[in-house]
Amino acid sequence: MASVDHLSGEAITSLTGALVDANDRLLGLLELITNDPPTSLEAPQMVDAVLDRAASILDLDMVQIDGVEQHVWGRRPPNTSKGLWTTSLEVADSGLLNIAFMRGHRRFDTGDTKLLAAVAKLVTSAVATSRVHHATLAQEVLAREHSTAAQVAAAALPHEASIPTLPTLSFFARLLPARETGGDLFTWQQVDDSVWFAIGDVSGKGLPAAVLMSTAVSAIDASISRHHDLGPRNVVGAVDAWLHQRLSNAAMFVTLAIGEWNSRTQTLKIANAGHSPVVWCTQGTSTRVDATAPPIGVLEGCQTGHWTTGTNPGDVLVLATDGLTEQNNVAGAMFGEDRLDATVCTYAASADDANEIGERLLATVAAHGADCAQSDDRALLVLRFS
Amino acid sequence: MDIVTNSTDPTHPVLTLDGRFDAFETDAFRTTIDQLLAAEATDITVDLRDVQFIDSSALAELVRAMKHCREGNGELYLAQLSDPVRVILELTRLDAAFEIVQAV
Repeated sequence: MASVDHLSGEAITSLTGALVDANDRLLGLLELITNDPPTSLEAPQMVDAVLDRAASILDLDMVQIDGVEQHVWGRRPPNTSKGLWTTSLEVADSGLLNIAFMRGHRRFDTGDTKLLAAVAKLVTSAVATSRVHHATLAQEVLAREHSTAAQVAAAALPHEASIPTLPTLSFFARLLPARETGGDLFTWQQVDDSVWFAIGDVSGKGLPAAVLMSTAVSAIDASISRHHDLGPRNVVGAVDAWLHQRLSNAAMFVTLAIGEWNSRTQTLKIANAGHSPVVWCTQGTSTRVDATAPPIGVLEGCQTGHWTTGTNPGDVLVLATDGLTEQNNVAGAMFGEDRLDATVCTYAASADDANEIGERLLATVAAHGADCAQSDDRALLVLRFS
Repeated sequence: MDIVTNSTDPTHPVLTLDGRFDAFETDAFRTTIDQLLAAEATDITVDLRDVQFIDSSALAELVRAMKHCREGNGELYLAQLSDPVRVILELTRLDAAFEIVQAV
């Protein structure tokens, strides 16, 4: 052990002071890194907890933080700028955190700066922990919203058990929701000799689209019940009168095709406000039933035309949503409008009922999008006349 | 999607969009439109020649922008439609609702 006999009393006092100081710092550092679990996961509170403890070791006046998080800790701005030490650290791929430690009355020495570097890492870690916490919370909220949206959507749509059953018509309906619920809708009613049906798509996704979809289905059902004797065009007009302002206020719209098939006269009428695809397949060829007006919610006073045709045994009508045509494959190619028309015609030529056509069509789209996420809801109605 | 704003004429700025215009991009588009209308813009042209895909959320944003322009007695012009945009506008008959122009 080295002798201290040759040192003056003053040097020994100074050395003892330094050793006590160093020991205090070590104890302070131990205190910093073995603190109690945080009582808050909000970044400002977590950072303050670190800096409150660090201040007792380093006698800090003020700490300024900017970059991915902005915060000021400090009892007082320093009167002088003798002690200033800055650093920049990366916060878990989010960006830089710039930290400035300030002490007015004396400079930071080498020992201080090593401690400050450790404190800066603790501050960065606190900010990173808080960000992870918030990201997890956001995911949880989103998951709950998706779940609620899916429940709202499912509750609004008619059940498959209520599908019309007539000897001269087979009817298929299916909605396959995407992970993030879209606003796809369909509904149907039997009124006297007629089967009424509707398909649509509310713009947007998530809870807002699901809620407006639910409102739209109610408006369509009510409009068919009240105005069925006036034909699909007037029913679309009634739906527009009910929904336009609500949709417009929400900066949304709904594409809507409504049809009526009269089983006695074997006549099909469709009014289409902005909806696609609607495919009519007869004698091996397909025709599009094009929209004759923009979607509901775009221009007030929606005026569609009427598409009318007689039906013969074997004729098929397919009404779908863009979740089918816009489904990508792994190469990024969409299923597409032309492929849908061709596939409908092929299946219509060989199938005996709407169920077989619908199931095969959905399976074909699913095969196209294999290994890709389902990008949107897929809604499908198939009517086969016999 | 990239949004480039040319405000040479601040009363009639031109937005050039490049990329996929879908639900993920609507917030940025809305913010840009609202800032322009809150400043001096009355008419806005949206150049769509480099938009490869547009979904219903994006169409709804264009409709919203159109209504806001018209509320201020201005107009939203859609210019240089790419094929995917033109097809969707025709299928939905939204081409009847918008002012569509060939050039910016």
